Amino acid sequence: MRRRRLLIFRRPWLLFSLMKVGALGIYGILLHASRLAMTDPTQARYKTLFFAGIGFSLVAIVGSALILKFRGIQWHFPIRGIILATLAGAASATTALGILLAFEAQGTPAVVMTILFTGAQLINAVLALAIDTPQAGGLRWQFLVGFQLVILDICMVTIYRPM
Amino acid sequence: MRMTWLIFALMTVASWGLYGVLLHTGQVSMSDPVHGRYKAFLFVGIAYLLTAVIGSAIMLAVNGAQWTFPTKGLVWSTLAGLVGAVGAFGVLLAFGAKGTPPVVMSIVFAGAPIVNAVVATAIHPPAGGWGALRWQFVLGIVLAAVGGCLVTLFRPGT
Repeated sequence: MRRRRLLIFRRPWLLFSLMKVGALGIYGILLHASRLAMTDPTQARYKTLFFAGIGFSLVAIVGSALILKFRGIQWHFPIRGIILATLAGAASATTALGILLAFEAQGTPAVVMTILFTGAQLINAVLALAIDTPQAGGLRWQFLVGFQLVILDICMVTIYRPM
Repeated sequence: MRMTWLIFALMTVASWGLYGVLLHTGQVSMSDPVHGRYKAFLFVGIAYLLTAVIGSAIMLAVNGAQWTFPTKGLVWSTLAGLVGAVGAFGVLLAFGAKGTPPVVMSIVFAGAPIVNAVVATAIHPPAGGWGALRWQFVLGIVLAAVGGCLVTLFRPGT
């Protein structure tokens, strides 16, 4: 236990990644519960997205602005950074809408989430490695095996999830 | 038309797959190693506001929807947004702490289905209780931990 805690403290990026794991893990469940709770068969997706957007924007805009203001930084933003960060936000909002639309179109959460987690990981890995390409031989076989296992595991956990 | 959900699911796959890469490149492009993550997150929030809040409001107005929101739906939706934002912030912090996009996002995409499965099972326990869990499900969780460890320990650059 002691060694495990030390490993996390030595690699804070791992701790932050796990924070994202927790959030993303319950994100789909919350969206699904919200859509059902809206009790509006035709407009539930937009009503859900509306309040999810308010919640997200509160944290992202107000939170970031307060931190930037508190630290007294210069309000200078490179155009390239603005465009890419805005595109990331649009991609995130599109994800939420896509999940809601898929649930609404009779896609079951188990099947939709299987496609989502595996497919998105593949696209992300290919794009990220293309942008941040490691040197020749930089990818070790253990990494690649682990990568394959992760994809297999995601499918097993999701498909054989208790109903 | 029976497979309409698949089109929406694939649309989500594309946007989610692009998200991590766009976020990391946006943070780097801010040319501010100390505050670049907060600057990027600010514009992620603005885009979310434009797309999710204003976009949805326009669609509700165009469709003539009644502006009534059940309290339960309102609370769960807002909570989903808050959780999503906390998660997005976690990714930025991970990138800022020298985590590379392939590894960070691999852990995220590997771990999230496990959390999703466990929480969903806790909320809606299977008929027969936890003892009714299929062995493939349990094995999947064990293998996921092994795969996650391999990816983490043997990431490029270590």
